[in-house]
Amino acid sequence: MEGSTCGRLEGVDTALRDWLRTLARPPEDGGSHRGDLSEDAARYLVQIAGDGALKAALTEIGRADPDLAD
Amino acid sequence: MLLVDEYLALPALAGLPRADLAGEALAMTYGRAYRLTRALLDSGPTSLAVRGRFTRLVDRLAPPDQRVLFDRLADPDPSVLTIVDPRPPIGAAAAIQNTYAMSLLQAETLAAAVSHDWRVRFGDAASATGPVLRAAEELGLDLVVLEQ
Repeated sequence: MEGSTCGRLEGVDTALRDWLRTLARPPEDGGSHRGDLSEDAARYLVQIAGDGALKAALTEIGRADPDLAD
Repeated sequence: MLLVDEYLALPALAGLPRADLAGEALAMTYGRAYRLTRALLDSGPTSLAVRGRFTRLVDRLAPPDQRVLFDRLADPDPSVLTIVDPRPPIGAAAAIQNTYAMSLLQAETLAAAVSHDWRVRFGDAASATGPVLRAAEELGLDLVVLEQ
């Protein structure tokens, strides 16, 4: 009987796996929302929320995944 | 509490909420938080960036700003934005989606508003489709699309 494919290293994209693990990290002690955005970054995020860029991205996601569509 | 869409949540997460929402407690559903994260996630390692299909809005941000933004999306300061626990309104969301022709994202939004008796504010008319407006009216929800 063949063993599980879990744990095999052949063909593993370690960079992708490591990145996903960083994204799944739990919040740091005291919350992870203490960092400051630069003023330019904050202004850019406000801009894309209103200029259609975010809307285009959300529409694109909704088109690919109808349960995430407006 | 105001239940908001991504267009209102993002400026709040950036620390620059709309003036007419300043001082309001904001909440966003899990589905909308997930969709916003998908829209704003960075490209990741090369292999994923090559395979990725979606717009990469944050590629214009410096890496430190990307990290702060992702941290805020994953774990927002509750005084800025609450991510609604999707479990309590799951029955209401299912019933709404069985009743109206709308997505899970939309049904979850209306279900959260009904369950918690929250007002709904959208930052773009795209969030208020015909079925959503009809359902909101029939459910007696206070739903307003704020002008830019």
